[in-house]
Amino acid sequence: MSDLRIENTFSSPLEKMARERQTKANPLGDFKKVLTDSIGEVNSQLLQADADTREMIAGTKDIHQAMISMEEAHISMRLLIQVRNKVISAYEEIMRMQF
Amino acid sequence: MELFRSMDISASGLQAQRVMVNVISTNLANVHTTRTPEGGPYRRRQAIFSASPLPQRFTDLLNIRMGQRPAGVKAEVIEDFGRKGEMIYDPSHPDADESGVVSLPNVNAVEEMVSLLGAMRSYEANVTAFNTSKQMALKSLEIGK
Repeated sequence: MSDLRIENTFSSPLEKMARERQTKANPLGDFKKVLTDSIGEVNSQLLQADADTREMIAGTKDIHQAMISMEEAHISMRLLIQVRNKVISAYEEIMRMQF
Repeated sequence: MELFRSMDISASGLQAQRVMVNVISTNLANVHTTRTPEGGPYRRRQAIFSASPLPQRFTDLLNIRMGQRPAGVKAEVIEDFGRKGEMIYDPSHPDADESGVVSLPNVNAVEEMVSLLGAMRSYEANVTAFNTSKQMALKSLEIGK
């Protein structure tokens, strides 16, 4: 249904340009969606590591599989922390702008 | 994510080496086994490694890749029927056949020990490869610091 769109008749060519730039600039959806998706993925990897550890203790899974899941969760978490740092520093940079 | 793909490859290598160690342990434990449920002495088991496609992660299922080349390893356990075991003349043995000959398993303990060392080194090599790719990932997080 995304290709069925009712186009407004544009009142000015400037408005038309703004709308085109918006649809071209975020092919992934807006950044908030990207962030929540990555948080969901980190969470699922943490749960996977937890489940693998439990299965290792129960004896159904090998120890190296549990270690690998833990390392993957660790790396994803570090990446998320770096993204958060960058976002916060960008925000502070903008707030520091003086008019 | 390509990063976790290299970790999947190392994981399959570790799994295959663990199968190899299990096979060698079985062989070493059964070095004197003269009777089995199928009849006859114990036959030496062997692990055969073959390249196999990696298990797909969920995100990969959404991007269907045609002609995915195998990158992981899979271990299969087969029985070694080619080599003959020792046959000893001992009529007093409970498992001796009509001519008093007992056939022993075709397991060479020295050879199994050497294979065990090889499996251990391969396991360590896989762990090193995994640690390296993990360190590369963590290093790349420091870009721009």
